[in-house]
Amino acid sequence: MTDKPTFVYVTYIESTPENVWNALTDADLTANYWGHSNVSDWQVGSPWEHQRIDGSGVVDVVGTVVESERPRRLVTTWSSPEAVDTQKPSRVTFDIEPHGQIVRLTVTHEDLFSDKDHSDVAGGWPAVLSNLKSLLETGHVLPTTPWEMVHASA
Amino acid sequence: MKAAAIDKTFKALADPTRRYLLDCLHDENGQTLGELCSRIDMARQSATQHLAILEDANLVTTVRRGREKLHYLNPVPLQEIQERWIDKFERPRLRTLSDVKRRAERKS
Repeated sequence: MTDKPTFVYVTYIESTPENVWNALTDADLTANYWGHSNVSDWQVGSPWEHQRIDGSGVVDVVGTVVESERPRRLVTTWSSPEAVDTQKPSRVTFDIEPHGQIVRLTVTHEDLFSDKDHSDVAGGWPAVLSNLKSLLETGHVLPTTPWEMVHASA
Repeated sequence: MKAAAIDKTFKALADPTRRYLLDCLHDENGQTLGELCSRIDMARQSATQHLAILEDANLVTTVRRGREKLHYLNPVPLQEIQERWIDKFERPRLRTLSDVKRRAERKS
């Protein structure tokens, strides 16, 4: 079943599709709640990078923009920089749907390569989405970056 | 996380069959109703009702693939419960620990 997504995450956010789109694609906003900056011009075919914000300039994920329909749908490929030539990238889709006065954000992660990728994703997305929701609804990120607690307890 | 949403999450979790359904999806994400029924030896109608409650609480999300409906574990509400009910209550203890450490280090 290769067409079956590996993970599907949903969160409801009191915000607008435009604000959710900005929070996913703006380098400064992603730095606030993700611990990384997502950097791209978000045009179809353009590269994108998931850059550390510690000043090291290290890039932990690279990929390509596959679909870009602001503010409703963004599809990107994900590879680790060292495996970009040897391994098929995974694929992440963000669907942003108005749901009454709130927004339903669905993250679908497909074509993950290894079990380690699976466990990294399983620990990572809920924490990232929860922090994103907190930032958009309250203007603040969570006091402790949730993924650090995930890793600390793992 | 709003009070009504938290109520739904805890109510959905307050049932052993529904918790078992979540465990089944954790073992293998993206199962059909038929696959889940065969694992828990349950009538389709009963499983459908439990899954509807889990979906309403946003603990399960579904994706259509052709004629099939695939069920996915959505742990985002559990993450929010962890932040609200565990991380917050742990913080004072962690602060106490760091106080103890600081004092101990000052004496040595």
